[in-house]
Amino acid sequence: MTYTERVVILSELAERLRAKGSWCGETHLQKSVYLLQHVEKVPLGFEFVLYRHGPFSFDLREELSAMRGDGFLRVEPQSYPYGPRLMADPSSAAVRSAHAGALRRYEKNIEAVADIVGAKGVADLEKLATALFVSESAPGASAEIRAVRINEMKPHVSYDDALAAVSAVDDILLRCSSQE
Amino acid sequence: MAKGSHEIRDAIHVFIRYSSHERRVIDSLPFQRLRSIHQLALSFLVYPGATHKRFEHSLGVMELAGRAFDVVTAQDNVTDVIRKSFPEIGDLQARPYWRTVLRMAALCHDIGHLPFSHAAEKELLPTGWTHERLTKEFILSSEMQEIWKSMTPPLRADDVARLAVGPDKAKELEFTQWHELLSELIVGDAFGVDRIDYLLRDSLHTGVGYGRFDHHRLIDTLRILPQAPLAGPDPSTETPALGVERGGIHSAEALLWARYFMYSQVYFHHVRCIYNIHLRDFLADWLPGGQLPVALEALAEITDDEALAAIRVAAKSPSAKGHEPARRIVKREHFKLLYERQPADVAKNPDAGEAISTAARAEFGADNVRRERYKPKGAPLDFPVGGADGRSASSISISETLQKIPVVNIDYVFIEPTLREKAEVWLAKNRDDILEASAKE
Repeated sequence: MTYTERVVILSELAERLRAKGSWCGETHLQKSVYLLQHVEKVPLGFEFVLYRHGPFSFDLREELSAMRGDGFLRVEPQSYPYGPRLMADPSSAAVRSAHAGALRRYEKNIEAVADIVGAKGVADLEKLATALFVSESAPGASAEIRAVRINEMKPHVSYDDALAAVSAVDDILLRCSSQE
Repeated sequence: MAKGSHEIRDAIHVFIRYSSHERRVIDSLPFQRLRSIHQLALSFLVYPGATHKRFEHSLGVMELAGRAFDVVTAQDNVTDVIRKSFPEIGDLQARPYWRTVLRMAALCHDIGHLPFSHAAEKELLPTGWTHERLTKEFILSSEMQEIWKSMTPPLRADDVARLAVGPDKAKELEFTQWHELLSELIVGDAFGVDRIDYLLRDSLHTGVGYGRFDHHRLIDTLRILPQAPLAGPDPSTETPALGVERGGIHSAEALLWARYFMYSQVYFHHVRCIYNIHLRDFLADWLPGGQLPVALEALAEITDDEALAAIRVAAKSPSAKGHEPARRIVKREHFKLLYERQPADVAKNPDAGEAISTAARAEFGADNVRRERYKPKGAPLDFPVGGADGRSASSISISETLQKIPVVNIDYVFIEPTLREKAEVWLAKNRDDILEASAKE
């Protein structure tokens, strides 16, 4: 996938996340891209590791910086003491319109992820994305085993919350596979 | 009685003190090899003073890592919430263990560096290999394991490796929040002591004053803080991260501006970039199989010294491997800048540099065109700042200066010098068509 195609997809994702009520900070965008790659199988090519708030891609952080540098993404400061939001710069619309084919190809996937993420906060996204990360690394493992694993890796996520997140991930994957 | 503590003079930190165990690492062959790896590759061809090596930088990073650790874990500088998140801070056995691990990791963080540092890494290593992976291999090697095991308490080699390269480059190792935080102290994008040392050191040796900032004040105000809140209740944002107390915000701003200036003025100076490309071309011809070895014993045999000697020999002999790029380096007949990324071009075509480079290769031949694209590393400008009221705030909500730091975005296309005039005329005539044609699907 070219940089231009990634600009199209990531800027569209940022727009749709905000339209669905997401805060759309860096963490929200990171988890959304993780879902886009790993649930919707959009081949963006970012590598994710388990980090502070769950799956995180340092490559994606670079890409978002590049987009900021190229004027396709904007950091929107908030009043004291709040963290910033990200928004697609209006100039990205021209790229999306010139590459309408790329947008059409992945539009449904982007919308599906924006629906999942919606107005979820960082805490919920961390649980959901970590549950997906653990599920992928332990295929076939029971929900209980995966919940224990999440709780080991992220002690601030209780076993019950982890189990709920695993169940939500299983539902999403089931829904996704039934649509294929 | 043998001395348990030793010191060495340093251009930046005046004295660097180290233990006998650290001396064993410093005296080991893999570490001594860093005396022959230039910190800034061939930058000395542009900035004559830039002849400093990874050796002294690694010592500097160890010194700063110790200082930073002492500040962020000082009992007066941590709240009960942080102490609860990281029990290691208050544990009388764990704290000195992790201080030792951190200093060792800082000392070894560059031990796997290739000849000429970053200049040739991506192109000349087999797929899946990086200098960080080699660093891990060195740290886990039997020679180094002997040192870790001889210590009291013995150091776990995995711990040293984790902190030396960070979660991004050690995907197979699990990181706790404590590991993440300590590795951030070394290799973190915002306040990693690796960055603090190389900006100061490179600034001194290149003679470029932009890289200076008040690192004493910055380190003194580093804190482990809950992350700043987002609007609305969102408890997980309290996950701890490295930040500064309010009094350190100006030093943090100065560091991030220094980073911007050094990247745009020194690290991506266009002549430095083209020398790196000629160097890569030379190494690809000269090295057996066109690649650097990844076996530790073989890698230890190749440093800048061997390569520079070979460049001088190859430059004189037209039949020698790598003669052409070697000649360009020695005789300073490097390719010339034909195109540099322009925001207006990127607005039309995000892959503008690639489009110009592809068209130029088709017009003038692939051997006569070279491209250098630097993908921004994106220093996070949003970090927690501790306020007098005990709450964390986002740095972006406090500092207008941080909001204005540009992203360093580099894309150069170079042309063989005798074709320069012709290529410039060609580009002026065809630039818009090239950008438009390539932008269309």
